Amino acid sequence: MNTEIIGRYIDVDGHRLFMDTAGDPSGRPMICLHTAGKHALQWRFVLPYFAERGYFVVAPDLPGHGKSLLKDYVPIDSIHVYAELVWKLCGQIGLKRPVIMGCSIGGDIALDIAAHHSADIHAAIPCEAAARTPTYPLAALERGLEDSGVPSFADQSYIGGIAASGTRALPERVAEIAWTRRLGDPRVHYNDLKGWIGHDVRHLLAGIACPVAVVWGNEDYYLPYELIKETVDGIPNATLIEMQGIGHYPHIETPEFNALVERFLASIA
Amino acid sequence: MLDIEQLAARLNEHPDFMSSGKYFDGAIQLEIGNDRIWIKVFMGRVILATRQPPPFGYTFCIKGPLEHWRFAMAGKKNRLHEAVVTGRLKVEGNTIEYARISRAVYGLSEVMHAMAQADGQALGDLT
Repeated sequence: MNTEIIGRYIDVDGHRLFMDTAGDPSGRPMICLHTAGKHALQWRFVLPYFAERGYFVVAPDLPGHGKSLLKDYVPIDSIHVYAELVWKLCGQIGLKRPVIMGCSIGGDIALDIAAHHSADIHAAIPCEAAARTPTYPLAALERGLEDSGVPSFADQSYIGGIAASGTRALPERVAEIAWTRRLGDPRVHYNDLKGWIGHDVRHLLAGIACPVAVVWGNEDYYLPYELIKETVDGIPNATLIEMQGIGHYPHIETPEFNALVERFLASIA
Repeated sequence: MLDIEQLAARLNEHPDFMSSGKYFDGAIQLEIGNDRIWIKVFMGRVILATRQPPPFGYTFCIKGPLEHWRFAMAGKKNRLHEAVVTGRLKVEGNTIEYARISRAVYGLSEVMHAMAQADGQALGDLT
């Protein structure tokens, strides 16, 4: 099985999008969605693992992130807008009944897709995400929307990456999280966070028909357990995968993540 | 009580503090419960650390009750950033400057954390 990660481009709704892909295109499709302001590189430990197990894995850079261009250069500040764009991408590249996985805002996007298209997806795996995520301080967010309000953005992001990783995260993975957080445009990052705090799909949870696994690191200080519990309790067929000593980046912090997700997918096969 | 002479000496050897603070001329105040420490920083070096803050104030201050400093410093992991993000500790004054020298503040937190780990009494009531 070829597990090499291969990049390609596609135009969706006027955005020129980059995506990493791995695996046989005839395999079961899986979409992986990155965190605020970041890019598909975050999934480099996940793509080969699932490609080797028969999945066709696609990790796009959302518009304005990584190597994806943004239509009209106006950053997107809505989780639902991202979700519908990702859903359109799935259609354009012919992904039938995909597994939708994402972390942080990517997890919120996965939940939004599940909330609106659950009959047409195999499963959703939101990581460090919830039905609502009003957890970022508004004053910091407003400052971040202006470049002059966030001096030393790269340093701030770097330190935030170290702080948001759990105590059981592998040190070399924490170093990678911190380094990759240095990259990107703060305006895009903070518009993503605007989407994060505005996201709320609680009224749609009861209608989610597909299996959902919510992955939560118990050291993620961006997401209190109460919001996770509210989400899991609200979805008819939901499972909580709790990871002790893990923070906001479970898919990068530890290789254990892949096996836990694989076990969930095997349980619903 | 935090040994402020040792704190200053260690900051003046910390690469992140020296590098990020290289383009800074100001004062950082720490308010650890009732303990007040005023640290004058000029171009990446501490030139004075005192418990008698001058009347002209500080550039920014990191403050909070002892229990929250204990949360930030007494455990195995340095949780100062987390304590600020979650509102346990407050940053007052010029928060743009606080953000601009983020890595120097991180260096400060690393030194304080290391001192707390090495000596349970280093931060006084924190332990």
